[in-house]
Amino acid sequence: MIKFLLLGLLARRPRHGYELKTQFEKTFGGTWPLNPGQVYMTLERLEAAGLVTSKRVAQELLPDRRVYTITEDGRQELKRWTAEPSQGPIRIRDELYLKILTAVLAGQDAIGIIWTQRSSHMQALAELRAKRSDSSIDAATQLVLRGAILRTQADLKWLDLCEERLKEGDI
Amino acid sequence: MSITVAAQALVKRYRDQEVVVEALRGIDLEVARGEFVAVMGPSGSGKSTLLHLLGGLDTPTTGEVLIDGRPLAGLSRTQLAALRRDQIGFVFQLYNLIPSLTVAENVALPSIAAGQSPGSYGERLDEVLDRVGLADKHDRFPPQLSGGEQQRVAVARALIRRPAVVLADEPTGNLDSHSGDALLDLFTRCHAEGQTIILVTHDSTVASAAQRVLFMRDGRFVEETELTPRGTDIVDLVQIEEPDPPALRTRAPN
Repeated sequence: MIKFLLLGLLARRPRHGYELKTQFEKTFGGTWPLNPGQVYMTLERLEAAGLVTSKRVAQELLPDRRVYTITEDGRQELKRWTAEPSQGPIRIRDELYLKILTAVLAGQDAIGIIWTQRSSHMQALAELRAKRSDSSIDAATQLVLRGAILRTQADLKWLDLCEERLKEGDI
Repeated sequence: MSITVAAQALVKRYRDQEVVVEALRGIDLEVARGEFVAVMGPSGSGKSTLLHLLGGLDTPTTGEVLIDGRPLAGLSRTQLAALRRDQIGFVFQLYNLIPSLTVAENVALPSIAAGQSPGSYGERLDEVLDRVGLADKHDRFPPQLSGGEQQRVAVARALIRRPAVVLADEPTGNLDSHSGDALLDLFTRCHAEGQTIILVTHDSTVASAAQRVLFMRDGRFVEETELTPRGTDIVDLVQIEEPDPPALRTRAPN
């Protein structure tokens, strides 16, 4: 899926591989790290599929570098993908869910575990909220931050609900 | 730091027909000047009872409440009324504004009750209305305002006498999440300016605005946590991951 991110960056202007990686990471304040090997491998595949072209550019004292340009097919593919509604089941990959559900399954003191998890999530929420007024965070990263705040709030509300249900003896 | 609000071995029992309900079973609490504390617990945990005792709206069965070092039990009715007016600001879930009075009149009520003339509280009135972002709503009436705005009027009213402590009972309970967040930001700002705040809530997202959270259950504090933003770098707080390719769930096209 990172192929679309790379096409997205190339849609603005041609860039070389390392620049793609650093520009991408900068845009999201480092919250979305990319693996350089993955970037180069993906660029090769994009080129093989005709979605980008590349040419070698000589540099003084440094090895040549390859500059990538998006093709018309690449633009179409990018447009198709971003316009397509994201679908499928909601993917919950958070360890929090596994821990609470496992504690319930195992018959452990789930209430105590909820408190521990809740304290750490409250701490995280306090940190995230404090970051909203950080002027060094750019607009795109602010969107990521707001998303993280909403998700943390949802997790906390879920923990409150779990506690309530456990105490009512429903589980 | 001096202690603003203290509770010592607070017990509160109610008689509900033939049954004795023990709402508080021995609460000890010390809130320092300028601290922002949240008391969190499910409904029926005793948190609202505690807030009412701290604010002198009700009296404990045994134990003692001290505001700024003064035990509430030792005060006459008049002294208690004066203390509630001057030292304690209340914010309730349902705002408790008077609909036939303007925003400014509602906010000024504690000052008027203290016998102040408009000349003496006028400047402070403008200051608190400005602080809650309602400087332009001076002459409106509460029913003309949104829920979030009405609650901000209630906060301004709670602050006008520069009380030692602000007590808030589910202040965001009736607000949508955006207005609720704005109200919490307002509390955070008041706290940054040195106000002591004790907030009671069942919602851990609301309690997260505080510096210290006390969890209540069945009339007792059972857990306590300190929340201290350490200025952690954003990359240590949030990480976006590439989702699994959708291939896992693809179905054969028709």
